[in-house]
Amino acid sequence: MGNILEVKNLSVEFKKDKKPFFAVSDVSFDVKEGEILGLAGESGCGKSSLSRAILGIQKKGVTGSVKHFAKRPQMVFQDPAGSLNPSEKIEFILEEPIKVKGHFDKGERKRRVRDMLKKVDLDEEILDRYPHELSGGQRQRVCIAAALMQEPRFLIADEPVSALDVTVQSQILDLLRRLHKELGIAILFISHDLRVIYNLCDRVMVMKSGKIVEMGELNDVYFNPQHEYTKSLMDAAKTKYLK
Amino acid sequence: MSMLKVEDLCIKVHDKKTTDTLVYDVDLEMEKGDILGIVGESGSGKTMTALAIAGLLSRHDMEKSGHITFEGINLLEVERKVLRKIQGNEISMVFQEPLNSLNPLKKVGWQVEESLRVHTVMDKAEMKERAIQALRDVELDNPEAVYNSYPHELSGGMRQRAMIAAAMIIQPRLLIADEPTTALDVTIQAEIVELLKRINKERGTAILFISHDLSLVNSLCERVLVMQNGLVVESGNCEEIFRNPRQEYTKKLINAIPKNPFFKEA
Amino acid sequence: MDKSKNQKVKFIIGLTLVGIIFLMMIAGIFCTPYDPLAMDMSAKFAGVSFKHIMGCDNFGRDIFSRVLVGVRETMFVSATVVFIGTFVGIIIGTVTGYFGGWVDEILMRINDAVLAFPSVLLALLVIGVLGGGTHSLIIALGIAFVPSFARIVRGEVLRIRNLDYIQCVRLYGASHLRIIVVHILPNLRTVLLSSVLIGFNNAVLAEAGMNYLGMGTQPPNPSLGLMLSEAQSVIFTNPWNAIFPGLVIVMMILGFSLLSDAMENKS
Repeated sequence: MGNILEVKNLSVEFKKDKKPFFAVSDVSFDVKEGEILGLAGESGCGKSSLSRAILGIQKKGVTGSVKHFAKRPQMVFQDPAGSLNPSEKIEFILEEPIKVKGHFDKGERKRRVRDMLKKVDLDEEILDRYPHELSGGQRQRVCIAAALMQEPRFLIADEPVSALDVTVQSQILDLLRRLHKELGIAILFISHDLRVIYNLCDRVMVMKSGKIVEMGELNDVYFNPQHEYTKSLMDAAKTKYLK
Repeated sequence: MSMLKVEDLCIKVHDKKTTDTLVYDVDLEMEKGDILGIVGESGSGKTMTALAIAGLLSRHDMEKSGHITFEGINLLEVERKVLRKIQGNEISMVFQEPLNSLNPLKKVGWQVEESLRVHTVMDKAEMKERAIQALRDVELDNPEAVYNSYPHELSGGMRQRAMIAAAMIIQPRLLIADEPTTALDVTIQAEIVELLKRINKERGTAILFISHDLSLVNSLCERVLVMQNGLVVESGNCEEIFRNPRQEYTKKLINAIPKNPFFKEA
Repeated sequence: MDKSKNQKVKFIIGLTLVGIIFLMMIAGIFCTPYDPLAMDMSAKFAGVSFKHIMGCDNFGRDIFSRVLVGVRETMFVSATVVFIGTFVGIIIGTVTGYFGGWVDEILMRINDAVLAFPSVLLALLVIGVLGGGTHSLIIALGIAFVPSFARIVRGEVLRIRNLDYIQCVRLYGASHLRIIVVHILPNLRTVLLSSVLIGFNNAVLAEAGMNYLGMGTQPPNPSLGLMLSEAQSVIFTNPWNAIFPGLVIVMMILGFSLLSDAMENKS
C-alpha cells in the first residue's frame, strides 16, 4: 500500500525567552493509505505542534519536508466547542467546506449535508441549532462531519475524545472506527490514553520532548517496548489502569 | 451521628416559565474518613450535588429543598456567617480545570495561603511555612520554586497538585473533588488518584470524588453513587457494582471504559 | 431575580429617555413650533409659558425650537462620528489583528500615537487645520474615535483567529477574505454593540464640548453645546437658557448608557 503522508526531518522551533526551543525535533515517519496511526505522548510533548506543522497551520519555525499524497487533509480538534463557529447554525457550518470549493449548487449541497448527517448518526433537526445548544458528543460528531465533507483521504484527530465523558468517548471512537471502515480514510490519531490507542489504531508512535522515541506495530510496542520512556509508560499502564 | 448526611436533596432551576429539576431526591451519608464516589455523565446532577454540599449554590433562581447536615448543622438553612466558617475550616473543594480555578495574576504560593489569610490570624512567615509544607505534602518536587511561580508556568498536573494543596491547607474534614483529573493525561490522573488516597489514609480526610470515569472511581472509592438525569440509580460498594451492575445505565458506564490491553479478560 | 428586575427597570427608563430624544430629533427635522433662527425682540428673555414652553433667549428666539434642532444636530454628528470610528476601526483592527507582522506593527504604533493625545486636543488640532464648521467637527471627532475602536476590534480578531474553528475553515481552503467576512466579523457583534453605544455617549459629550468651545456649529445655527455657552453669561438671571439644553444632554447620555448597560448584561 502506498503512503498518504511522508514526513522527513520535520522540526518546529519556537523562541522561548529568546532561547530557541524545539517543540518538534527531527521527526520522520510515513502514514500509509487507509491505516490508523496512533501518536501517543503526554501533554507538552509536541504532538499538537507536530500536527499543526503537518497541516501547514503552523508555518513559522518549521523546517524539514512534509509531503501529502492526498488533497485537503482535515483535522478534528480536542475541544468541540472551540472548533465550531459560535454564531452560525449547524447547517451553515456543515455546508461551508463544500461552499468554499464552489462545485455544487444549493440543492446538491443540502443533499450532501444530509447524507453526512446520517453517516455520523445525527438527526436532521440539529441543522437548525447553534453549537452551544448541542451536547459535547453531538458537537464532536458535527466536527467530524464537517471534516469529512470534502471527502478527504487523510484526517488528523488531535485528542478528539479527551474532553468528553467516557460514555461519549466510546461512542465517538466507535464512530471513527466505523467511518474508517466505510470510507477507507487514513487517520493520524493523537491521544495521551494508551488504552484508547490500543483499541483503535493499527500502528503506534510514542513521542517525548519533541522526538519520536519508538514506532511500530501495536503489540510490539505495547508488549515488547525498546525505549526506556515507552517502558515506563507501559509499566504505568500496567499498574495503574484498571481493567 | 454521621459527619455528612444528605436527605431528599432537590435542586430546581426556575427559568422564566419552566422549572427544571437538576437533582431529585438525593440521599447520601459519609462518615469521617470515608471516600465516596459519585459517577455519571455530564448533566446527571453530580456537580450540582457537590456544589450544594459545598454551599456554593446560592443563586436566587435556584431552589433547594431537603437537608444537608454536616456535623449536625443544616447547611441549607444556616446563616451565611456560620456557612462561611464551615467552608473555611471543614469543607474544601477542588475543581476540574486547574487553570481556571487559579488566578492567573497571582503567584501560586499566595493562592495556597489564601484561606489561611481569610480565616485565621497568622504572620507572614508562618503562613509561608505552612504553604510550603502543604505544597510538599502534595509531592511537588520543589515546593519553594512552585510557591514563587505563576499558574501558567506549571504543568497541568502540578497545577492540580497546587489546587489540592490550597484545599488541604486548612486541614478540612471533607474534601470535595469535582472531576479533578478529567483535564489531565492518563498517567497524571493515576498519580492524582494515588495522592488523594494517601491524603485520605494519612490525614483521615473524607473525600467526595466526582467523576464520569467509573474506572477512576473504582480505583479510589469504597462506595459509589451512580447518577443519571438528577436521580441516583444505583449505589453501594464500588467493587460489587463494578463486578455486578444491576442497572443498564451502570453497565453502559462500565462498557464505555477503554479496554486495557494489559488486563485481558477471559 | 432582583438583578433581572433591575435590568428591566434600567432598560425601560433608558428606552423611554432615548424614545423622547428620538421624537425630539424627528420634530427637529420636520417641524419646530417656531423658526429656531427667528428673532423676536418683544420676547427677549421671555420666561417659561404655554407659548414658549422653554422660554426665549437673549434674541427672543424660542429655546424649545432651538433645542429640537440642536438635538437633531447632536444626533447627526454623534452618529456619523461613531460610524466613521467603527467603520475605519473595523478595517484597521481586522487587518492588523488578522495579518499581524509589520502591517500590525506600523498601524498600531500610529494608533498608539493618536490614542496618546486627548481626543479633544486632537480634534482641536484638526479643526485648526480644516477650519470650523460641522463638517470639520465630524472629521475631527471621527479621527479621534478611530483608535479606540481599532484596538477593541484588533484584540477580538486576534482572539478569534486563533480559535480552532478558524483553523478548520483554513483547512477547507477558504480565502482570507472569506474567513474574515464570513467567519470573524459576525462574531464581533456583541463586543461592537456595547462599544458603539458607549462610543455614542462619548461622541455626544465631545460634540457638546466642542460646540461649547465654539469649534463646531457656527452661530446663529443652534446646537446644544453652543446654547450652553451662550447662556453662561445670563445663567443667574435667566437660568432656563442653560437648564433646558443641559437637561437634554443629560437625558441623552443617561438614556443611552442605561440602554447599553441593560443590553450588555443581557448578552
